[in-house]
Amino acid sequence: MTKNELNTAFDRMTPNDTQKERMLNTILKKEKPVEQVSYPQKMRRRRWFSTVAACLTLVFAMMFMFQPGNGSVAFALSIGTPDSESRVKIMDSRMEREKFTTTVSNVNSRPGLEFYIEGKDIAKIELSCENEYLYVVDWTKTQQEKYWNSELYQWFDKEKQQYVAHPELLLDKSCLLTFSEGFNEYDQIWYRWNAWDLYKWASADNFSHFQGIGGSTNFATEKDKLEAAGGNKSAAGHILLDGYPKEKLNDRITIAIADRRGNTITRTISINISNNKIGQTVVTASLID
Amino acid sequence: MENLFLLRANKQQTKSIMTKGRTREEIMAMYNRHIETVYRVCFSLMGNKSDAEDVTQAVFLELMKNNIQFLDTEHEKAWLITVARNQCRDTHRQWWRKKVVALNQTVETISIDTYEIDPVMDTLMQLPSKLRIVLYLHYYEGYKLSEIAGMLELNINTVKTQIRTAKQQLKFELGDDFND
Repeated sequence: MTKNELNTAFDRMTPNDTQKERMLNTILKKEKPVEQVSYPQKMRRRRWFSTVAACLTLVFAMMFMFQPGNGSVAFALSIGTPDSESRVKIMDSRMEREKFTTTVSNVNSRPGLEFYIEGKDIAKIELSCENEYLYVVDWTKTQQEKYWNSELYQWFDKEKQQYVAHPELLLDKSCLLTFSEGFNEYDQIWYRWNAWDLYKWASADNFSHFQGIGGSTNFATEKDKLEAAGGNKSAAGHILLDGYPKEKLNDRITIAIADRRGNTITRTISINISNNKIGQTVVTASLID
Repeated sequence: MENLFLLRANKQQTKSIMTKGRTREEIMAMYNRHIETVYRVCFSLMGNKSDAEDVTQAVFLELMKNNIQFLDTEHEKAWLITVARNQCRDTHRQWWRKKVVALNQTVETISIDTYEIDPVMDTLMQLPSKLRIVLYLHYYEGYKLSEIAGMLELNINTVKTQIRTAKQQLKFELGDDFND
């Protein structure tokens, strides 16, 4: 292969005119135009902003004064020196870079949770959970092959003409990850908690505990079909938790991190599964200090 | 918590070189200058047109939100590449994201995503995205390894290793040596 052949291949990734126009239109639709503000308007606006800012400062100052403890929402855990700082970050679907929180609440018809760990000089991470299951997605391909080679737990069924997954080959109650010296892509490894037992219970007897399905596959309209898949803010397709053992609606993930200097730290994620007012399945998770 | 404070300090520094806003004409000029590069970066990292378009749009929306003042067009381009890489990484992390394709777009998407049989393209698309992006930035955009390391927030030795691995994989797949 030559450099020219390679560059020709990259050339083929160039967007065509239709794509460019489509993207530009979308961007401009979302754009807030820059207003040309005249001087008196500017003054009035500045005065208004100053008043609002002063009020807000006062409110925040009072909140701070009457707060019983430290109100920081950012959670960071440190092991060893500040250089070897590690953080457990729980994500929610609205997560943006550099924003993380100690509690998330996700509406999802297939209850699950994802988090990742950032840090330096981590030698070992051990995870375990009590009721449900864990698995790992390893984009760095440094850990067990089952964490990155999907062919180890799913394969093509020629009779059914579809891929069939075998989660029992992937899901575990505990995982151990070890890292070689110089490894730094900790955040490229994703840890997932999966309510597999709940899913098995809900899907038994022809998916009897899934709302809006209950064995019927005859949908009157295309809209009904979409809603049964859990779309359009509907509870259809979500799991109704009535009848499921209450003690199994809670779970705890224990995370033990050890760095190369021998420092260790343990953190726990507490998980609760519930139905909200309209019957959707909600996973609420909190990182416990 | 030191890293958190460092992060805030960087943000304050960035704010100090921000301008008050860009006009629609300025944004369109930037879009026309860099759309192809940003899209190709996104395509390299996401691996398909639909996601590449979504992330490309997010990158330019980020540009409008931030209003950072650039030293020159190269600075502008490097900033957009870094943002594109970050946006792609965030999108990959949102594993629960659902793909919704309107029916009237399906025909077009199929025609766009169907490539003629091209062993080079085929092999390139089979490379891990992190290897594809360093190849793209180095061989297509002509960035130095140190510049790539800066943009992708990687150690320069990691970039070197990734380029070597990518070249080895291409050689292996195509049964032909890779000539610089």
